Amino acid sequence: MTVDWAVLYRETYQDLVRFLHRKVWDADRAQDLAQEAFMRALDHEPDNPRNFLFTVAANLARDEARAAIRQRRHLTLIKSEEADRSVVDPVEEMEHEQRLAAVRRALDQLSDRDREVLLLWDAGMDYEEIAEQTGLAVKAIGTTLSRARRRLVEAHEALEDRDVARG
Amino acid sequence: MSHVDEGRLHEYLDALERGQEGQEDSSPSIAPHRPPSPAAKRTAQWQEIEQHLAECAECATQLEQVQLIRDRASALLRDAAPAHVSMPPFEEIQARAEARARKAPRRVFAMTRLATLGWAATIVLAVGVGWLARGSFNFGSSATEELPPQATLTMDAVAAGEVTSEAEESGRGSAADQAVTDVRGARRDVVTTAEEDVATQPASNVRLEEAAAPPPAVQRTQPADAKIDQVRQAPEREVVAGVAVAEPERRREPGVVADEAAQLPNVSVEGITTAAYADSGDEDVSRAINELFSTETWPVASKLDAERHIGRDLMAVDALPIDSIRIGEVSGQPAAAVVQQLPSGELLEIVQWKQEDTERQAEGFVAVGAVSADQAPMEQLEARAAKRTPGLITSVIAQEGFLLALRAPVSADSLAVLAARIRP
Repeated sequence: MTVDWAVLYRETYQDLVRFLHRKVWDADRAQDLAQEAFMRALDHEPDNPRNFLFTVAANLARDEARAAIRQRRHLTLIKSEEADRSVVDPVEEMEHEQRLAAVRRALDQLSDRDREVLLLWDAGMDYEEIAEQTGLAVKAIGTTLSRARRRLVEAHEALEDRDVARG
Repeated sequence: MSHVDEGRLHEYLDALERGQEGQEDSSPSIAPHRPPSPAAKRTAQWQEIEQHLAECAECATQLEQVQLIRDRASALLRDAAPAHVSMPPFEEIQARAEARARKAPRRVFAMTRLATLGWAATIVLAVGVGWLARGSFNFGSSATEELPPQATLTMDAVAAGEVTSEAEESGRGSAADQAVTDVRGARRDVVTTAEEDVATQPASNVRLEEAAAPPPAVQRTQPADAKIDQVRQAPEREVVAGVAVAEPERRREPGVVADEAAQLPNVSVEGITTAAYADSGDEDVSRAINELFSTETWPVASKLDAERHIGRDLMAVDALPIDSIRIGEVSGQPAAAVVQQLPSGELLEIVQWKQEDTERQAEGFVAVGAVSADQAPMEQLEARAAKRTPGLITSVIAQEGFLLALRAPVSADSLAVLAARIRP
């Protein structure tokens, strides 16, 4: 099967970065890992490149979380300091960071499987692709997504309520 | 058509969203007459759902709620998107991949060459050591050949009836002759038994060959009586051992092995004291149970932490994967919720906490408005279950000073089966 890698790259790169960003919570690192995933895919030339990309991306993110937590924190700190210099509207940036942190905490409340299915859907995968990626039955994806979305919303609201109560 | 469940509504809306991608009309409203998927089979399914939604006000209301949750979740995920994504040109990625690929073969070649040299050196070394040591070992000799010539002659003499062993010296020549006869007889018996058993006991072949082999050389120096006893008894033991090994093989039938789960010991459960159904028409009951087990907001914990929290091993249904573990409080007591995934994708939740006077407390759940299993006929429970709000079927079990509340969108029978399989 001939794959038009340029088209695949153009169509998938943003989705892959978004998917990775919600795992590593660092935009620059997410882009690095997405590029690494594409380089590995070009090297391996898999039959199902899209699935391969997300599998590699998930593995890279997992390895990242295990092996380089301290280093990443340090780098994130440096990067955010650098980024601060180029921020046009610091208030807007701060609000974005707060929203990001709130969603991150809510996502952390989800089980690994629910979170993975939700993020894969949001990254543009369809039910069949998600089923292949996660090993779930296609028929179970709707139920899993339903639960994941409800939990995400409820967890986010609960966290907001808690923050309001704390003042 | 029965009511459309929540998962199916999400699936419908997802298909609708992806089906609309790229189309000129980007109206956010649900378009019931537009096929959401190009696949004909799917389209037929969606049309069936749309027809039901047009007729069923309850499902139409639920669709609106599902849409709200779905939109809210999407908005939250959008908030978590990186503010800016820079996309390097594809050519750059390709160039980097090619550069890496160019480096890799050289490394492989170097490794291959080193490995080849290593193997060659090992072989040369092994051959050299073997050549130098060829005079030190006599590889062709066996234990029998190493015996002194007179020992071999002695045995030959025994076989020929000319016994010159300790037996003859002590005046027991006839016993030695008998020993030879018995030895030969025993060997014949063994061979006969072996031939009879070969057809039914393939696993004993090895044992039979060992039994039919000549007695070990070391026995030749023993007195004739001892030798007789050994030869008489040892082969029989070996054959019996062969049968013992073969028996389990013969009894192992596919059906029995496949049903290993059924052989698991039953769990001692004190009894399902209450089967509480929250009728969707009775909002007080629904609210009471939901407030009691509002585990959604409990923090996720490890198994070890949860066990420390409640003070004993966590209970769960065996053979079901654990989705998550949360800790919190129920009635002021430390509690843990084990969430397990059923094969259907639905979740089973087991909330567990220590409680004194568990029987009375379990009955207390009836007091909040639920229906006791022994008070209502099964038909009534099933009828209520059919009207249930998903996730609100609850069964409370008293077990060793703990209360376990099971919650899953399954029938009462299924919940009872699951309850019987709970174990640490």
